Amino acid sequence: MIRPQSIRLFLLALWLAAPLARAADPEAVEALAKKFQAANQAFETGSYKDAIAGYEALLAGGAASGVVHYNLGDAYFRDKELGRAIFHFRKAREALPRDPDVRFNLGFARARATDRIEQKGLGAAIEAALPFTEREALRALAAAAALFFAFLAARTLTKREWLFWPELATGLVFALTVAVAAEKALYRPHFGVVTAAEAGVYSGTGKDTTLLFSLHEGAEFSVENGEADWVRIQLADGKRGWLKRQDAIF
Amino acid sequence: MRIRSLILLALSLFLACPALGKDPVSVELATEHTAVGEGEDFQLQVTVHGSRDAKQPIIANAEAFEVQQTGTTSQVQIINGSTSLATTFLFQATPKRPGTFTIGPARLTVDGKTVESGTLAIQVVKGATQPAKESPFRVAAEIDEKAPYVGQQIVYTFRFFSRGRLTGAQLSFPDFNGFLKEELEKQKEYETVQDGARWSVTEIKLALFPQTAGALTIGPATLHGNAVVEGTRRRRGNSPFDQFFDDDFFGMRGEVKRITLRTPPLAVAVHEVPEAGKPAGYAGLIGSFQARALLSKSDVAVGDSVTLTVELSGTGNVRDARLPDLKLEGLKVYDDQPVVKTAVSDGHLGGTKTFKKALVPLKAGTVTVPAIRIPYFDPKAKTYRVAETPPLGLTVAPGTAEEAPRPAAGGQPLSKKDISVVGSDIMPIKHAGAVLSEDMGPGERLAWLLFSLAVCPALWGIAFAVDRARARRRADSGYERRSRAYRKFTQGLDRIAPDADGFAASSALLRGYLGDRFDFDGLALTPIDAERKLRPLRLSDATIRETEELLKLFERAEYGGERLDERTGERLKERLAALAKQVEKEASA
Repeated sequence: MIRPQSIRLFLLALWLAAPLARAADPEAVEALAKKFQAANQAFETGSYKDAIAGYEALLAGGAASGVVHYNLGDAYFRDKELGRAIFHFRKAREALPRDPDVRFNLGFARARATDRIEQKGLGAAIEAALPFTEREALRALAAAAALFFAFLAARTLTKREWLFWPELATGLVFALTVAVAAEKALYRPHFGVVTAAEAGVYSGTGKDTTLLFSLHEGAEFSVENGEADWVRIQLADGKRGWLKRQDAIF
Repeated sequence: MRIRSLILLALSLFLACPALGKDPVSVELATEHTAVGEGEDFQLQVTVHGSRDAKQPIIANAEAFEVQQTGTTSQVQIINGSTSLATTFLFQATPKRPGTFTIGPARLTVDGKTVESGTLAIQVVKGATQPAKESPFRVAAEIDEKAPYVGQQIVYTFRFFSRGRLTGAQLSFPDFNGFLKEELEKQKEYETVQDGARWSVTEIKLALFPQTAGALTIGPATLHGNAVVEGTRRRRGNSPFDQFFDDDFFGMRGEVKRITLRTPPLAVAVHEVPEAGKPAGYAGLIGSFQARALLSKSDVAVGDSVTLTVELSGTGNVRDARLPDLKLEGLKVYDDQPVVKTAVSDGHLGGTKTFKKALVPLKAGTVTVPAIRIPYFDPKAKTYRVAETPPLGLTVAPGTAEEAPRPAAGGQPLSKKDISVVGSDIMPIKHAGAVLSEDMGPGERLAWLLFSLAVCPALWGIAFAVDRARARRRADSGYERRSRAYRKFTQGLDRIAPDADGFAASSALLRGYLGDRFDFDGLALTPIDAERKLRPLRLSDATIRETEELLKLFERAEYGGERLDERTGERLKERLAALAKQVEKEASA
């Protein structure tokens, strides 16, 4: 017997999933596309600051696609703003993790950063091993879950033992996709990049704090928490400290 | 027998140990020969007395001999309670040149003190001092050409003749200074009869190519080994030690003798190839050769590549073969690395050297690859000859490209060069692609997670519940009746009408409901046995009393012929509904 509770839960899920099926307003998309082309045109003519302004406006208007971040990274790179270029290439990589141009430009820009920061931990390795977006990971999870539980239900109801094998196979895939989706959906590091030519990292935010080390433009870090004018950061090699917000982009 | 021997030996050593080392250490150098022939081996013995752990002594002034240690023996003697220990080091000495030499002393350092033996005078004479014994082992070396030309192949043959047992054989070839050496064929073994005796022969052949003219010498090849001479072991006395060492425990009864065999040096007179008749383009090739050439295709378009293959095969120093420069009108030539495959033919080293060239026609028409002439010197005929290929024709059709930029011979690119990077830059911007953000909103993320981790498991949960219900139905025949009792009751309640049969219908409805709900015959329920039947079902007193009252009411009305009016009917329905709800509540608790 199907309980009313189950039906209510199913309807709630459908309601929450409704945004997936919602089509974007074609006129709004058209307008954004025109702005995008205009920014591209500015870039091609060497007006990098205009291109930057155009791409930033698109981001502010919700057009934060991987392509916009990528082009903005290019524009900042041409405009000699290495830190912002790296930041937007990284944002582009989040949306387009398998795009070779994005990966190349990120590596190209990173190679020009002054600070050499040793990578510790498995964060970068996991990121490289799972070149998927969050949406891709969650869709894969949904497909695997549907298949796995369908086989489970079919075996429960029909008692056909041969269904054990597809159930086992889809169960393994489901477990794998759970792990990938968890990494993508739950482990979402908030990162930043130094934009100032040189930025001090301090032991605290008060008066009598000590300068721990200095970073230079293009240095990447993860953000642990923040205050009004300061953020506490951690480098890939484990170094931590407080950095002025104005010296970086997040 | 063996155990007894071991015990006796151990006991003797135990008894001997306290006495050992008490005598002063002395060293003795001895040999049985005072005159030996050049190249004749003889044995040197260095005996160390009175030292338990003597190290190998050094024999001084032995530069005129090649000295090699061949073994060590130890002796323990107990005479009238006095024990002595001697260690003998055996050396094999081979004179290097004739003359009279003083060899020794043998020196040994014991406890920081150097102990020396006396010296020996050895006369080395040319030739042999003793008639050659019938040795069961011989070695021989020969070359098939003693006066070759520079670059001409000669075959060096080493043979080991054996009529006995040789273990641990080690063969050392000479350095072959002035020659290039190549393996000719694998070691060959066969038997032959010489001097009326059958010999086992091991034969090794090498191909040698003299590199310079003049008198060259191929040094001796040396074979070391342990010869086992069957049945020659000297029978020892009857002491326990003799029996111990003669025991089968040591496996061999024959005597093992370290031997060294050397081949005589070989003189080679190497000549330059004659200048008379030397053709232009001669590049040192010597032997006997043939050449052939072929094109991968005879029709080709301008800019396309065609492969010219030239094969030079024969016997001799084919590795040294070179092609003359090809000047081909209307063709651009790209060389590939030549490939050499060696082979043995008639006991001599030869093979094939294959040259490949990629030809790219530059204009349409007919192009001729001319005859390719490779001169070589034939040492047998002592004259120069030429290996020549026939001319080859190539028809070139007009092509779309003036020239192929990357020709290939044998399918492989030619003349690769490292790419020289002269600049670097980022990839350009993208003009196509989605502009809208691909980021997931929290709602979408939650929806996917809910679907995957809640909805799908819930659907399976439903299937599980359905399965359990089916199982319960199969196991409990009253389950279906119970589970439908209340719904059936509520449906029946709506059908009760205010008429003459209203009370009877209400009575049947209540009794039917209770019978269904608790799986008994409800229509047989009377007010009298209501408590008896309902009490065990753990219904409350109030519910049981209400049930009794209603059943009594129905009974009175039925037997009294009462008609159910509308007002009473509504109140009755309310009471019945309330009672059923209470029953459901208490029964489910």
